[in-house]
Amino acid sequence: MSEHAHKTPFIRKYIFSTDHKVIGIQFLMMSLFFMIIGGLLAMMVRWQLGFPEKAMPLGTLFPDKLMPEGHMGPEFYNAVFTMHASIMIFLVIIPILAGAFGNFLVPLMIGARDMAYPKLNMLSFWVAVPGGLLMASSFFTDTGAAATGWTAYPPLSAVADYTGVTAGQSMWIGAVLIVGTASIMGAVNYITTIINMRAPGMHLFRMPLTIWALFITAILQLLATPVLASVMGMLLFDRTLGTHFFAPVGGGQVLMFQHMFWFYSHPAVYIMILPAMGFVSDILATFSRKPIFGYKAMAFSIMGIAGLGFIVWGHHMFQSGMNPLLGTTFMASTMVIAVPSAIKTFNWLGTIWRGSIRFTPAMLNALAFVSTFIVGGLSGIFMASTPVDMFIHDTYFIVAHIHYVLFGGSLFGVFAAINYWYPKMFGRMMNEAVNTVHFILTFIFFNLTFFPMHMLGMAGHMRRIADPTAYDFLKPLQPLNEFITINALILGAVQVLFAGNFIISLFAGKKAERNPWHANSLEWVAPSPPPHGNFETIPTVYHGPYEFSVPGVVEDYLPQDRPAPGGAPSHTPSLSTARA
Amino acid sequence: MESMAIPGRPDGPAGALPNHRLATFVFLMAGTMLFIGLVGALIVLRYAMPQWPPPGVPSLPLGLGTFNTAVILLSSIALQRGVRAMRLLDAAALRRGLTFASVLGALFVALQALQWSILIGRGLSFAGTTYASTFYVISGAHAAHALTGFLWLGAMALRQRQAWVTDAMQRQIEVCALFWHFVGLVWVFLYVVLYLL
Ligand code: HEM
Ligand SMILES: [Cu+2]
Repeated sequence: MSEHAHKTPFIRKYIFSTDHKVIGIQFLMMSLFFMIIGGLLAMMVRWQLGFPEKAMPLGTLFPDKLMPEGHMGPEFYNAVFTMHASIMIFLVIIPILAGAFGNFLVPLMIGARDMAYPKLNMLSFWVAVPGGLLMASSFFTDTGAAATGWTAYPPLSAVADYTGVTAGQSMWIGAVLIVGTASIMGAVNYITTIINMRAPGMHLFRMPLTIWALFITAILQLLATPVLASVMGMLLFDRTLGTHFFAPVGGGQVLMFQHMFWFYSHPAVYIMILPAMGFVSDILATFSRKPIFGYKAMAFSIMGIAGLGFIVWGHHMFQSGMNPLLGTTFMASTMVIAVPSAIKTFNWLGTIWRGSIRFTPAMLNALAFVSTFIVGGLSGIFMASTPVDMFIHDTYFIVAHIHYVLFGGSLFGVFAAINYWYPKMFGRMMNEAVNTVHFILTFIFFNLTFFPMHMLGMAGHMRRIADPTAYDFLKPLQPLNEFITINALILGAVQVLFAGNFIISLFAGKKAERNPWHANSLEWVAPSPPPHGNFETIPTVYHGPYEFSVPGVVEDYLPQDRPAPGGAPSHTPSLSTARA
Repeated sequence: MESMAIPGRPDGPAGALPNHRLATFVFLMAGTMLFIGLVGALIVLRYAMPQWPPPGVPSLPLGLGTFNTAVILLSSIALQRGVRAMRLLDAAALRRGLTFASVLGALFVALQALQWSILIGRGLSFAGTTYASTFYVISGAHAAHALTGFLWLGAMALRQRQAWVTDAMQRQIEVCALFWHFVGLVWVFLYVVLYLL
């Protein structure tokens, strides 16, 4: 196998590769690249909100039209916050979770040599890249990038005159369509692979929760993304060909956009968190040296969250003037989602309860995930209650919620996952001390940045405004805005530690063993990094991935391809193990 | 779809369906959701209007629509006979089935184009009313699928010349056939929604 890999020319091996691991790493690099851009945009947003009257550092580098003398005008501000969110959602979180980790982990963790359709897999990456570039390059058009918020509500988005943005908004729509196509291709591949390519003995209920989460996520992507495509297509026609799907003047329905958009985008928020929930489950079990608490309950609550996720979209629209009876149903269904979410949370706590915890950076980030997800989930329940949401809708309370679930949840999950699987991906260890410092600082400054936003929201601070000092009633809140901005800038700066560690460890990190964390799932059976084709021989699976500290086993872990001594706890007839 | 680059499981798929059929079904679910989205929009827009079709708007040519529905159904039947012949190792009948299906598919697309031009001639402009826009967008999205489908069928017919069918070809034809039946099935549904309701 490995001699074969050496002969592959560079371009086939690293650029147009069909190897799921290379494609996963490509998605990882793409997402991290866009994360830098999205992060810098966030810094600009925060500068403007904290110090609207001061010229932005380096602001003079921008063309005068956008930033006269380094001051951001409201039009440019709209484009900046819109693109921050759009990039983070469509080009960072979704591709890094499903694209990067989905690709890298699915075949390895189920014991397959590759995806069912490696070429389709490659195509999905090479469709995503131009989509991303199309979105980012809209900044350089005459009238600038999309400026309607990532939700692109018409009529604002449907008529170019309202924002003054012509090409940029249409490019944004095109990019969303393209990236969506890529993610459907990925989803078809993941679903087929997980159903059909599992190693012998890998029953569905022996799959790691990471795989369960990626599987359900793929189903969400498969079913929700086409609806986004249809609504974005109609929006594009409204903009370019003069149709009136969403314009009341021609019989169109503005609210219909919101319904269809959220029919996609609420499931999409679960696309953005379920994989991270999977990673965290595996990481917590590994570093607590205990089986996951309530494995089946965990798998079923992933399904429950995903299923319910399709019937709660209206909670984004309580203020939109939809039928109040409908609003009440959406309120009820939304609150029900808290049940499977709570099951997961209690099971995570049950998993670490009295475990022999090892505080590696991966574990620390996973613990941060659990704690911030609790805060984000609780703020979600506030907002799910219609009367409360009437008050806090479209305020910084929502922004706080978003960031507790997406940064505090998804992104801490990503940090945990990178820390955990980096040795497998690159064959080297990251520096743990640096990543521990990075974690501590990120956790502190994350909370200092985003927690006060709850208070801003309660005080009525609207989201999506360029200059809080323009409103008298917000003036007393300005010191809080400045405080948030300073912390946000530090939070941004701290990420350099992680980026530096990531890059330097690629070359100078300690060589990784096969199974540095003494974990059980199949990716740790393969060499680090695994060669083309992954396994020397396809492993046979004897039990689930959470057999930690099994009585009667000398070590405190039992890889899935090793039968338990003295009668395996498995239904598979005992075959001889391929690996010693 | 191509076969696997690297052999998968030593003992065949873990699930009940082979990869290519499973992947096609999964993919077609996404296609279904696309049309559900579009038809959902149609329903919302329709019930928002006091009258549908709006007064003064030319009506759809029901006869042509019905005839075309028959065309695409016949095409599916021809294809299905071809696929059954393939299972019985009758390569000539397979090729006949593919060719008939593809020609009928081409006829379907051509008649759709004719229908559009008739409607445009009668003044049903794309952007004029939501009635027209939904009709054109939905039938257009479907026509794009039908176009892909009949070209694909035609390509299969041209490539299948030998008296035997390779495994890879057999898989491709099965996938193509599933896709084409999907296109036909969606059209029947759209016919009901667009012309009859
Ligand atoms: C218990 C779980 C959750 C509940 C009950 C909940 C509830 C809500 C509600 C009611 C809103 C709308 C508030 C408004 O606009 O007035 C909202 C917004 C939002 N939620 Fe959640 N949520 C939950 C979990 C999540 C998760 C896990 C994510 C993402 C990973 C997420 C991401 C978002 C985003 C991005 C928005 C804002 C969308 C926008 O208007 O830009 N939520 N949530
Ligand atoms: Cu939601």
